Amino acid sequence: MNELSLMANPLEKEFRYYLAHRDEIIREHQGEFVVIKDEKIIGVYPSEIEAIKATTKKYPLGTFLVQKAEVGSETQVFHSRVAVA
Amino acid sequence: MAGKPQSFTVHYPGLVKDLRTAARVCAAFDPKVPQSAPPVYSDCTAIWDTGASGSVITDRVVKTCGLKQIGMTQVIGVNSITLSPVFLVNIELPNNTGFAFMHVTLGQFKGGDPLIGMDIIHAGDFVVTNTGGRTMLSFRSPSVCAIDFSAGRL
Repeated sequence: MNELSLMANPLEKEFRYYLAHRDEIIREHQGEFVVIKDEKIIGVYPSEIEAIKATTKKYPLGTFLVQKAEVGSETQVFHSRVAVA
Repeated sequence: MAGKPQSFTVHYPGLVKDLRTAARVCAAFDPKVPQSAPPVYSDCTAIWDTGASGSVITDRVVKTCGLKQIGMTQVIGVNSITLSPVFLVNIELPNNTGFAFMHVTLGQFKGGDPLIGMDIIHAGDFVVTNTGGRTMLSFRSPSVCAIDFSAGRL
């Protein structure tokens, strides 16, 4: 594995929380969509759309992270032209 | 996407090194539900990339469509692992072939935007031929049947 470089991002804190607690979250919520804000799970929903609809009643879009509790759901692989910096 | 397959075909004037098609991107919405305001589209030239597990947009589309981040993903590239924002969009391809609520990653690449990855390609049947020195791309979704050149049916 190469070095993991992190770009400054508004939801980085929430994503890091998911990565740190991934096994536990997947064990408890396999296949569901968890909503994370400020290093806390604030909701669990059966679908992504429901998660967004429910959470945007309280918080603006872009201020919370929606993540599917599933192995590999946090990774994308690019063998070709894409660069992320 | 489900139900009757939607399809399109692009005939290129010669052999091409990049597979490009027209595309439009906007913030995700349910096309079956009337919208209070029309979505803001970004008209694009998409690049098809079987080496990408997911589709990618650039910052230009994010700004044009006013997209709001919904998540993040670990991007595993040839030489690096990076974190990148994830957005939820609708992607329209030619002839009403479209995909709603697609996760796309923010990335950088040249020659087009968005990059169509395997998340869309595996939602249908994707064929590239080069008969007579002219590349042709044809795509339909959802998948209808296997296209096996070695089975003697084609």
